[in-house]
This record gives sequence, structure tokens and C-alpha cells, in this order.
Amino acid sequence: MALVGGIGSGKTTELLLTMDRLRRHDDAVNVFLEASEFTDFSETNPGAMLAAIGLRLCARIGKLFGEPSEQVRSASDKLRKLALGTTEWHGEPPDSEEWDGMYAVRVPGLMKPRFPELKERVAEVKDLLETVLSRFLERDSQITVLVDGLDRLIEPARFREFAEQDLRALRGTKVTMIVAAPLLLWYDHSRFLDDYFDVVKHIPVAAVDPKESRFLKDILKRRGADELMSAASINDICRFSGGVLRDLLELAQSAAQDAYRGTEDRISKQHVREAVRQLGNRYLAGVGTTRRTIIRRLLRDEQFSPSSPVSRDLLVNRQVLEYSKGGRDYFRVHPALVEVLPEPA
Amino acid sequence: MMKFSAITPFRLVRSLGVAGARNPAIYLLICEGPAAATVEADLLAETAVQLGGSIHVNTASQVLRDGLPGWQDGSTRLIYFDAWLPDLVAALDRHSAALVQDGGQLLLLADEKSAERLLSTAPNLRSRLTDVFQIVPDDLSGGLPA
Repeated sequence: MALVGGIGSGKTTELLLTMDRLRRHDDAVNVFLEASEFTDFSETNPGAMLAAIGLRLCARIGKLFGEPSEQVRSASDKLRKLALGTTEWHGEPPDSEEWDGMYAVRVPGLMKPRFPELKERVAEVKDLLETVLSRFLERDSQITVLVDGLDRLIEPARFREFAEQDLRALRGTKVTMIVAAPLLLWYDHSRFLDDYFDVVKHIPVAAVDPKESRFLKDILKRRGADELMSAASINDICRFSGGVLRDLLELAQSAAQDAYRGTEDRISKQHVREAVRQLGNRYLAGVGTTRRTIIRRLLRDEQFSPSSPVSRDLLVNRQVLEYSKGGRDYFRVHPALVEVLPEPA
Repeated sequence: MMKFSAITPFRLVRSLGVAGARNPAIYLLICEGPAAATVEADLLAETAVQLGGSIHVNTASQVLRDGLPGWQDGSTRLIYFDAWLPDLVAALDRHSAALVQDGGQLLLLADEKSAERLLSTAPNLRSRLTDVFQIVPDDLSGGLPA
């Protein structure tokens, strides 16, 4: 399954909630992987995600099923070497009078990039992983791997580079994968999502009408908003968040801190207005003439197409938000940005 | 020109204090060159006085060269952007979720030009910023920034 959504839309929260639900089942074995565990993103390292999954499962075997078999232990050792690298000792004499007969050669691992022959090794990692998996599958364990963080590779092509070999290798292994994917894949015409995932879930902003959303208000009220601000201020925070969960919390926190710095014990409309202005100015940074033209056209004519690179940038940067209602996607300028957008000259 | 709220080191450290040492936070602080050294010194002094702690200070060039060591002690780190380093900003953007996941607080101090570029080229990091301020040195009376 691919979980597709913009920055701050709540993909990580969805993954964590899914993990929480799965934990209720006795036969569930869940692995939550943050992409930075197996890559520094500087270049692709195919096989690293598989290796990371394998290592995590190896660590569980002893606890779940007791002493692992010799075969599994051997696979685990090999996976560890492939993933983390190893130091091999070679007997060739170097040009040195103090030579003691051996010299060390560092062999980098899959989880540290720069390994030219990696692609050939994906099959090897897959075989080792399957050996580890067999121990779980013979006990009818339901394995789910949740991968977060690859969505920070915003460009679809970069995401594909990282994901496609490992995802393809996992086909037929009886492992369920749930991967957070960048929003642009939703608007990409390459069919990557259809080809690699059985289910694609698009997470647009949380509320079509943020100002009226009971869901957004409940999020704030559960954090004590009722005691700190008026209903009108809660409405304003919901409205100017545009329905983006992270922005909702950010606005509330920013307004609260502004009140605190002013030594006041309640959040006023003025504090909320200041928080909105702060958030809007963040979105305004780097918005030049071309982007302003597109934004104004969307404000004026409600016309926006994510087909051009500039338009897609606006979506990625959340200056334009995507909404979904009745199966139809449509776009709006982020309401906090609208508040600070200068009038055309 | 960007128009973010002004803050002084005194008031910023007060915010850090009330949020608590284990409350992750990332602030982008905008300050033009000549005042940056004063602001940095004020932040160190206020942290010592108000929080009884210290700030680990690195330049962006140092972080690019040596990496950003992980920190689990909930302490505060400051990265001063002594130059515009797109590779570092890209790395901070991609690892933004992990920057303060152990409860640390990160202050990014940059001039206006670098701050604007950071905001427009690092959407993941921007989304995780706690706030953005124009930071000005404390005035000796401890009053509000102009």
C-alpha cells in the first residue's frame, strides 16, 4: 500500500495508528522503518531497505520463537555484513618494511551508499531475507512493514530510484508493505503507483471546510484549547490551517507562545492573528512573480493545474493545498498565505 | 523583504524554557551579519542564566564537514549559517524528522538571504519549524524588541 500525501498531511500519524491497530492481533509482527535508518538519501542504495527489514526481523526471532536455527543465524550474519559492511583481511604484501603479513580492506555495507555492484546484490539480500522470513511464516505470522520518510524524496523519479528494486523484490514474500510516498506521485503520469502498489491511499488535507470541521476543533480541544482561547479563536486557527494538521498544531503553539511571551494567560484573537501572519510569511518566502501569478489566478478564477513544474512546486511547498470532495480533487491557496500575499503592484 | 516577528535572545530562551528541555523544537532565527555574533553571545548567556545549561554552537560549514552529532540529552544546538550550503540544507531537509526526535532543540541562525532560500528550498524542514523570528540583540533594559 502507498500512502500519498503532502508535507504535514498526517502520513506518519496514519502509519503509527495503523501500527497501533495491528498490534491488537496476536499473530501480527510489525516493523516500523524510518528511511534514514537505511539511507542517507545522498544516492540510491538498492537492497538497503530489504536488509534493514531483515535485520529488524532477526532481532525479533529470539524473543518470539526462541533460539534461531543454524540456517537463520547464518542468514542473519550475512545480512548484517551486507547491511553494515565489514572489514576483510587480505594477505597481499603492501609496499612497506613494517608489513606484518596482513592488511585490512574496508568493505562498505548496503546501508551506507557508494557500492557500485549493489543492484546485483538485491537478489542475494532477498534470498537471505526469505530465510529469515521462513521462521515467521511457518508460525503463520502476519508481517507488516511500515516505511516512513521516503516521501521526503519529493521528486517522483528520486523516490522511484530508491524504492523500485526493493519493492519489486518483496513481491511474493507474503510481507505487507505500507510506504509513505510523496504527493507528486499522485499527479505523476508514470503509473508507478499502479505498477508497484495494490492499494493507493491519497491523504488530502484533513478537512474540506476547515473552519467548520469538528475533527480539527476536537484536536485543539483535546489539547485544552477551550481553557485558553475563545471559540472564535479556535475557529480562526482551524480556518487558517487550511486543514493541514501540522499547520493546525503549529498555529496553536505559535499563538500560545506569543501569549506567554507577552505574559498573558489567555490566547487572544491578536495572538492568533500574529501566528497566522508568521505562518503565512513562511509560505511567502521565495514566491516570485511567476508563482504569484499562478496563485492569484487560483484565487480569482479557481483555476489551477498541477501539470507544470512551477505549479507542482506550489503543491509540494503547500502554498497550494489539494482537497478532495465527492471523489473530485480541487485546489485552494493556503489561507495563511492569502493573509500576507501582497496586493499586485 | 520578509516580515517575521522580532524577538530577543532573552525572550527566545524564555520560550525554550517554558517548552521544556525534552520538548523538541526547531527555530529559524534571522539576523544580519554584524549582529549575529552579539546574538549568539546573548543566547549563550541567557541559556546559562535562565536554564542553567549551555548551547552547542557549530557553523554550517563545520556541520557539512563533520556531520551533526546526535544528541539525546535534550540540550540546545545552534547552527550558524556562515555560508549558503545547498548540500547541507538538502540534508537537513531530508533528515528533518530526525533532527530533534530525541527531544533536543535546534536553532538555525542565518542572514535574511540564506533564511529565505532555506524556507523556499527545504519544504520538509520549513514544515517542522517551530517558528521563525527576526532576532535582535537584547537591549540592556531587557525591554521589547523594536
